[in-house]
Amino acid sequence: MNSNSTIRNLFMALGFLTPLFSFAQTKEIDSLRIVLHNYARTKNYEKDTAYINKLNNFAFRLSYLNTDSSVLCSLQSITLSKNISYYYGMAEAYKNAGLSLNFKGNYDSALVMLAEALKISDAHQINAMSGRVYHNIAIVYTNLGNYLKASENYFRALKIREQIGEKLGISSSNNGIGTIYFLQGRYKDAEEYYKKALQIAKEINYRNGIETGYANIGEVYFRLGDYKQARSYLTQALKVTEETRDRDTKTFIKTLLGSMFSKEGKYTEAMQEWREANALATAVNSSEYKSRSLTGIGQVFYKQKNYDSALYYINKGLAIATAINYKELQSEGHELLSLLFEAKGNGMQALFHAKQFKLYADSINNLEAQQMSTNLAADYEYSKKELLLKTDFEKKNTRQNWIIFSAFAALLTAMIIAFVVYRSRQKEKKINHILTLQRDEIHAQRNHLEKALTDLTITQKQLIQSEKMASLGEMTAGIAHEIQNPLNFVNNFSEVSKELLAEMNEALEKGNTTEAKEISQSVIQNLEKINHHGKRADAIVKGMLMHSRNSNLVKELTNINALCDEYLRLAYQGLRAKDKTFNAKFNSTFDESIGAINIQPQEIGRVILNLINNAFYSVNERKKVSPDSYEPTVILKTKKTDNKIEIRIADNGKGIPQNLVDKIFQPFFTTKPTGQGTGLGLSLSYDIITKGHNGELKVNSKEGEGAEFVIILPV
Amino acid sequence: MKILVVDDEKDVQILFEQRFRKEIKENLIEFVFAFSGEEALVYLNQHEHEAVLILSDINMPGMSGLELLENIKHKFHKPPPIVMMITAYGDSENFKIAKELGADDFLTKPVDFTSLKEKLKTIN
Repeated sequence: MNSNSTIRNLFMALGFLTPLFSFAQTKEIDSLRIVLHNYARTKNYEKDTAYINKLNNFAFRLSYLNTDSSVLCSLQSITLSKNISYYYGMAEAYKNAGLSLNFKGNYDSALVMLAEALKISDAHQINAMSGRVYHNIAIVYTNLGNYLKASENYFRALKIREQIGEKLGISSSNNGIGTIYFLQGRYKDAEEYYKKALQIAKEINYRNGIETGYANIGEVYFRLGDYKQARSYLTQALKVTEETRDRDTKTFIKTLLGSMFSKEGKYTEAMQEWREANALATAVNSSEYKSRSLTGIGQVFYKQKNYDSALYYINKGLAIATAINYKELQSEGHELLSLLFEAKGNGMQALFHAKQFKLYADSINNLEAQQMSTNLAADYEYSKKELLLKTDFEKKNTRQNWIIFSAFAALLTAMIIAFVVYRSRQKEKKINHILTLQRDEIHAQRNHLEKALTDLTITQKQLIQSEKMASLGEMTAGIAHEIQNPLNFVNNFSEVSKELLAEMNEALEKGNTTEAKEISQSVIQNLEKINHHGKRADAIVKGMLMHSRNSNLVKELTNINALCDEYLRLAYQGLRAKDKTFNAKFNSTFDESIGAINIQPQEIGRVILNLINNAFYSVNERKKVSPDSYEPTVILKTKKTDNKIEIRIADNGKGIPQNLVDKIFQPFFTTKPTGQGTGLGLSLSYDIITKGHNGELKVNSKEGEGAEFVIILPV
Repeated sequence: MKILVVDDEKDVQILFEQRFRKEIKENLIEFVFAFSGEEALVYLNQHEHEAVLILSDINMPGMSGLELLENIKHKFHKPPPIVMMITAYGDSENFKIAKELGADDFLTKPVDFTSLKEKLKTIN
């Protein structure tokens, strides 16, 4: 089994991403940031456990959003907690650091951090913490594919969770153990735990848990070949997805239904499910499920002997599988193609794909062999423990029997053996029961974290959207003003043209063609002006619409100079509209040789707007404390070098202190007064430039003299 | 009569020249244009007492119309030229400040050229 696919399957099966909306989350991170900021102004705040708790909470909430910042917060919290011997805070901070590192895929370091957290919480008997930490360790081991260690730690966590009696956690624990069994192909065991998880989720009406439970049990029945049961569970899961609107889980369910109908030979139904799965996979942008559904559609066409359509879809599915290097799907695609070409009578192609299929199948078999040896090691560990218990028990009984029944040794030996076997079976049952109970406990934390993760993902999306809306608000006033001028021109030039044409008629009647020609030149000029200003207004409205649109991130050829000019004006007028006393000089130098470049215009526009707004803000702040001779100035320059475009936005404002330069691109960092900045502007800008456009965003600054931001885009 | 028009929108020049084409032809009015507050001050310093009337926009980058107004009313004492400010629709705040700074009259955007011509007649 491909290790990537294991993790992917796991995440899908657990319903990790659920687009619920909770504005409370946005507010929570923002208010935490403000609280931390305010604390930092009080005396001895670094010795206050309340501050450490807030810092830990902040790190926890950032752990998925921004792993690096989260780890930094946790490390600071560890230092502070150590200074005042605050063990709970220290353990929590180590645990959060482990969690962030796990999200980063840095599993070894994550385990080191979690071991440290465990040491502290065990030494100081912080049981709730120990439970949480064990659960986190189990998650890391699951991601590493070490199911033995994963299940051991789940059981330890579950035991503690049960003592505390946290239902949501117990439900998740059972689900996690079910997942471990499922991944090992032990479907009956998986079913048992999934059902427990489902039952508890129902008791506390935990929607995501119920949905996950139904879907997972459905998958178990599917693997067991009991399609009737599978269908019944998957249908129930689908009902819950209607409420949770969890499209990831829905994609997963539709894919299962498609496979099932295909296996049953119900091709019409199968096709419908595959098509729905494909639409959903496209909507949630899951390459794996896009590939699965396309291959599924192709397979149905193949079965229906519609070979051309089959070839089209299987090729499409295979291309995606190859792009994400997903061996299992690549193998399946090549196998289908080989069968397809055989049916079409193309022997050479059939042979080629058959060879490819064998290649991928071998590579999967190797991986499976590795996995199997891990499983065998796990079985060995379990049986070794059982054996130890048995031996101990035998010794005791044998001694007693020698004393009492020495005369009937031969007969009794047989009886003893029978007795021992019986008792050891009893004991085995008992041990199994205890183990079962322990297993039952382990899963609680997992769902707890799942939920936290889900919330964090949602929060991230909301924060990005609210940052967009905030900058839209800043733009609106500027737009109103900016649009008024071109409209005035359009009205005026058209009115005056009408008058001119009347005069031209008069001139023509008088036979004065020279004058008529002169007038007609003016009218032509006016019409050009009308056209120019109409386009100007049009561009502004379009820019605003694009800016507010949520996810239209298509790159298109854009005139970067015009874009800069437009946003420079918008930013200026927007600030003027908000603050009448605001004023600043701005000028721009555009390198006309740039031409159009391929970018996401609304995203780059957002970055430029953000940088210009910051520049104006900074000069305005400096003006408040400067003599009249100070001239607030913002300068925008574009320049083309060999294979790059540079956009420089410079101001002569307050500048950025050296100790803050490293922090300005971190999320939630702001120097604006509480409530005035989201602290996300530069962080989002940085992501747009670096991740969205493979560019660079740099800053040069001298405190008290100004700052210059440089955007570098490759062309 | 010489009128100085101050606005950062350069097309204002063509517009005024066409709107007042008859008056210009008949040498009744002469227009001078400045595209920023700074440019307007430079002109006024070099051609003192030439411009009878100044028409100025308020929202301009660099020196705003209000700063220009303040400058004119303080520095050009005898007699200070007439200053008409062009304000955006509904911008009561700028209206108030301009009035305090000594603006002689106001025009609201979009400029109604018929009423502007009426006003100019009374000045003449």
